[in-house]
Order: sequence, then C-alpha cells, then structure tokens
Amino acid sequence: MMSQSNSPGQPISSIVLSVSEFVDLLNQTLDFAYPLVTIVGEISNFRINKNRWVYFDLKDELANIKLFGIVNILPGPLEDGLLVQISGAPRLHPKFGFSVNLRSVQAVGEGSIKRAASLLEAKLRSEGLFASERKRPLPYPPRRIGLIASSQSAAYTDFVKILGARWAGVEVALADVQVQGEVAPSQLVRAIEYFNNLPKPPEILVITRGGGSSEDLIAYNSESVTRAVASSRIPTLVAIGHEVDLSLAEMAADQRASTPSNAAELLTPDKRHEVQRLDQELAQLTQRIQQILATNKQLLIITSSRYTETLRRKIAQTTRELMSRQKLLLALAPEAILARGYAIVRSSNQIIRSGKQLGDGQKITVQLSDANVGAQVEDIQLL
Amino acid sequence: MTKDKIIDYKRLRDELDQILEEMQSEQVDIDQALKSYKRGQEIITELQKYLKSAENKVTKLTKDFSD
Repeated sequence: MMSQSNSPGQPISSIVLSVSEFVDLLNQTLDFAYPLVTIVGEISNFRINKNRWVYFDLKDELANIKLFGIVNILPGPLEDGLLVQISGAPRLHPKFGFSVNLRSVQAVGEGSIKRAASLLEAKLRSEGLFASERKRPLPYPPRRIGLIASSQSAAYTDFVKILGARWAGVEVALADVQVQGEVAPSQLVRAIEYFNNLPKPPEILVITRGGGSSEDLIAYNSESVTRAVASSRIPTLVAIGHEVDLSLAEMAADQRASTPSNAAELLTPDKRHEVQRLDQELAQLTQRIQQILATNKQLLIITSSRYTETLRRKIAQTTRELMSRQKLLLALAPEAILARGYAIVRSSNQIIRSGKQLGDGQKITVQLSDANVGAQVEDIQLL
Repeated sequence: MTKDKIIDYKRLRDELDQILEEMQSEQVDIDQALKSYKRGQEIITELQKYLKSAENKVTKLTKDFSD
C-alpha cells in the first residue's frame, strides 16, 4: 500500500516507498503497460519442479530473462537450446525478482519445432499412444461423420466434394475450428471432446487441414491435441496435407490419410464401382439360381426315370407270376383232365366218387371231354 | 432427398455377401436358394436405388469452440 502522504502529481522520485510498495507499484505499472508480452528466445536452465511448476530462462545473444509457469501450459517436453515463442505477463516477484509468468509456450523455427516434436513423440510413444494394437477399424462406409476443420479451408471443401462424388447418404457435422495459431490446439481439443460427449456421437471423427509449414501444422504436434486424438472414444482419421514428417496427431489416430481427399477415399467405396459391382452380383445370383434349378430338374428326371424303370420291372414280374399261375390253373382245370381221357360220372346230378354209391341198373351220365353219355350200370366190382 | 430413408448400407452389404456365399455352396437346398435369391435381388435393388438417389448432408455446427 502506498504511503498516505503521497498525492497525485507528486513526482515519484520524491516519494519514499517501502520495498513492498515499490514491488506493488512496479507490478501495477507492468500490468497496465504490458499486460501480456510475446517474446522469442532460446531456452536455458529448463527445469520442472514437483511435476507442477516450470522454470527456465529465455535468452538471446545479449539478454537473459527468467520465466515461470505451470506445467500444463507447455506444449510438450522442452529442453535447453530450443527456440520458443512465449507469451506471458511480466512481473516482479517480492522475493525472487523479475520474471515473466508464462501463459503459452511454443517452439518456433523448423529445427526447434522438430526437436520439440521428437521429444514429445518419444514421451508419448513410451506411454503407448501410437501403439498399433490401439488402432481400431473404421466404419466402412460411415453414415455419420464428425468433421473437424476450418470451414474456410480447401481441406474442408475437398473432403466434402470427394465424399459427395464417391458416396451417398452420409451425414457430416462440421466443427468449424481454427487450424493454426495459438488458439488452434485448444479449439481442436474442444471439438474432439464435444463430439465424444454427444448423446449420439458420430461413427468417426475426421480431423483435417491442408498442407503448410511446420509452424502452420504445429497444433497437430501438440501434446493436448495428440492426447485428445488418442483418447477419443470415437475412431479417428487424421488427414494433414503434407509430404514430410507425420504429425503426432496422425500417429495417434486410428488411421491417417495423406490429404483431405484421400481421407474421403479411404472412408468410402466409389459408388459408381459399387453400382457396377451390384449389377455383376445380380447377374451372378441369377446365373446361380438358374443353375440350381437346372440341376434340380435334372435330378427330378433321373428320379422319375428310375421310378419308371422300377415300375416296369414290377409289372413284368407280376405278369410272369400271373402267367405261371394261369398255366397251373389251366393244367388243373377239369376240361384239361377230361381231355386227357378221364371222365366224370354223375347220377342225379351228384358226382359219383365211389362204386358204393351205385346199384345195378342205376342210370348214370358219363361226362367226356366232348360229350355227355347216358348209360346204365350193369356190373359193379369194388376194388 | 432429405426425407430419404437412411439405410444401413454396411448391414445390407454384409447380408448380401452372406447370401452370395451361401448360394455358391454345393449343398444349397432349392427352397432356401429361392428365398435367398429373392432376398438378394431385393437388397441389390434397394442399394442401387440408394446409391443413385441419396445425397450427403453437411451441417455446420453452430457451436463456437473458441472458449
């Protein structure tokens, strides 16, 4: 607190301040004049305390300043020698002197960006974020896509155009985010979380942007975005249009594509090919059913001819049996017996089987094969 | 085509693939084959109609991701 004797307009040089008052005054002035500064420099004396606080110096050829912040604002692991751009609030600490309170840090310059990315890659790899066994299959073709891109980008236009040319009936929900600059990582993370928290989430997240310099693509190498991609419950496809190194977000994704158009191609069959394929399959099905019907018809013919043959044999056998029975019957018929010279003797229409049935003078009828002869008994000699 | 019925392409495609495989079997029963053929025809017609008429639908979310 300022001394009571001070009044406005009094030159500061004439005011006597306590040490704490001086610190307060200076911090108020700094807050007013430089609420936030952005500085580029090389990291030295980098250290992390209790996994929570980060301290390092930022230097160039002529100067060296101290910085302080919480670990969460770091883009990933850092080390001495990296060139970074920081933003923060300059502040005089009552005990430890001048420092800049960090708000954000990011590597700048191709070499440092690559180095920072490789440090982060090693860290995340050791945690298993890029492991192939984590990769999930993508729905093919998906019905609902969550697209995370800039609505102003060619990447967005290309993806939607190719998707439309290749496939039909897909619902695409676009989360319009900034894909570069300081806010890009947090927007990308929020969009990923947003889709994951929907009651009816899309079947796949497509995270895409066109190519650019390593600095343009830095968000896709950040720890927060890489972790968000890796922890997404919805399968992910990351497509960054570039030809050089893969970004960490691509490595953490379930699948990557080389360009936004390539992403659309990987997700869907070409509908023209699919229509042709369906035509071919219909022809194949028709041919097959005809074949099956023909085979069955043939089987039926074979079965029926076998049946006819069996029936014919049966008839022949029955006929043979009938004929032999007929022969037997004919042989046993009285006519046949009479023809052989036997005769039937009747008296009063009774067949006479014994001499005892007859008496002398009894009238009898003798049936020969061709005549009935009337006669009278003259003599009986029993045998 | 906004009122177009959303079909589960993958499910129908899988069903069709299964029918095509079954029909190739030597032991296929004629009654089953006729049923499968009819179903295969229906699926193909439906999928073709869908591919020829349906359109993609792109919606831009109104949500702002900057805060």
